[in-house]
Amino acid sequence: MPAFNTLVRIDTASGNSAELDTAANSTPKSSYAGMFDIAVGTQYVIYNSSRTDQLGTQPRGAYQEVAQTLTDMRDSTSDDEQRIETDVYNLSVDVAAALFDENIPAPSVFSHGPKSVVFNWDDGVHNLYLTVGRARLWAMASTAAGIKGQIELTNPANHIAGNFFKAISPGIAGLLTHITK
Amino acid sequence: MTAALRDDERIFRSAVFPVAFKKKQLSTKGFLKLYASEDSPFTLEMSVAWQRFVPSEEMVHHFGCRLAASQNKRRVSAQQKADRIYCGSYELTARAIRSLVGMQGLAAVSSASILHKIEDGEIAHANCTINVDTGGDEDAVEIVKTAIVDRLWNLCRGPLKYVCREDRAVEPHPSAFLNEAPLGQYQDLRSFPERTIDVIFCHLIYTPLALFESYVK
Repeated sequence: MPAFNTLVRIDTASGNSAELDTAANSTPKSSYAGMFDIAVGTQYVIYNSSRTDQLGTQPRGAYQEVAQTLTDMRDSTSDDEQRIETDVYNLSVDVAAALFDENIPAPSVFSHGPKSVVFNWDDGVHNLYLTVGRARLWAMASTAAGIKGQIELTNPANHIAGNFFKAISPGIAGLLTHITK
Repeated sequence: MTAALRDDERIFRSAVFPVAFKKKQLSTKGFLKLYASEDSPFTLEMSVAWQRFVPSEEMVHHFGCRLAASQNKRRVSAQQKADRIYCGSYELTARAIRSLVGMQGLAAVSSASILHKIEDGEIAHANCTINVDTGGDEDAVEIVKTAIVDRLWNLCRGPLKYVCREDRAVEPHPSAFLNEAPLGQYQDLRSFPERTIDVIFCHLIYTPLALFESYVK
């Protein structure tokens, strides 16, 4: 049974925090305060309940560049083709934080315009995409021959929650299997 | 002039990125940008250059350099850094655009067309129009966009890398980080005489005709 994570977003100005996803009986053992603190006034703290042995192996710099890319997209001018809406930015940072916590290699990023961001892993044969919208999240897998499958990872209440964390817990290979089965 | 391109006509999509492309984990695939049209969120559009009006590689690149310059001009007007750089172009065919209809995993694509349409004074500009049907779910258009980008990327050739004159001092130039397209490098299969004829026709016939038609319209 894969562990669930607790992802907390903290407003550093007010000190208020909001729990983005919780798991029963999880005991935080490590935190990465400041990992995604590029967003002004916001700090992300990621707790992990069982993967502390693997944490720290993920290149921090690559995820910082992902965070910087997302921030630049959010701060672009309204007619800039790279610009993304604030809601898309917020959800994409949450997703990136969860990916980091699962020790998943940093994705490359592109946007479809203001309403979505795409995280992409391309190993030369398989392509995996996470499309992050304003409040919804989809995964898609493909090869050169065609699209192998796509699923929505958002729950009915339009929050990233169990579906997403369950899907990414086994890592990239597990997510590919999950999509294409 | 709104002529439809024949299936075998070649088109080029410019790759324009920020100076810090790659360092920022930006994907090369981001050059395939699909915009919702002003008329409907379910109608997607993408601009390309039609080879008929850019019959040499040099002309393809000049089109891209002008595109980056116009983006930088808008950014300066908005008091942002003029940091957009043309890195090169990828080649597709008109057939690739139309083949999206009925493709596996793209059931939501109901039609796809490509028409010549002069825009912002660019005679070579052609407009790809893709209609999607997601049952009225506007948010779901975003995953369809991802699927379209994935398939178009797999039908690309290139890149044809290039450094615009005004970017020669940029080091390292971000064109170095463009990924090779799945179909491999672009190869101009036209013979030298064919290319020469295409350039002559472009300057003496196609361009004047397109300008005349746009003028009288």
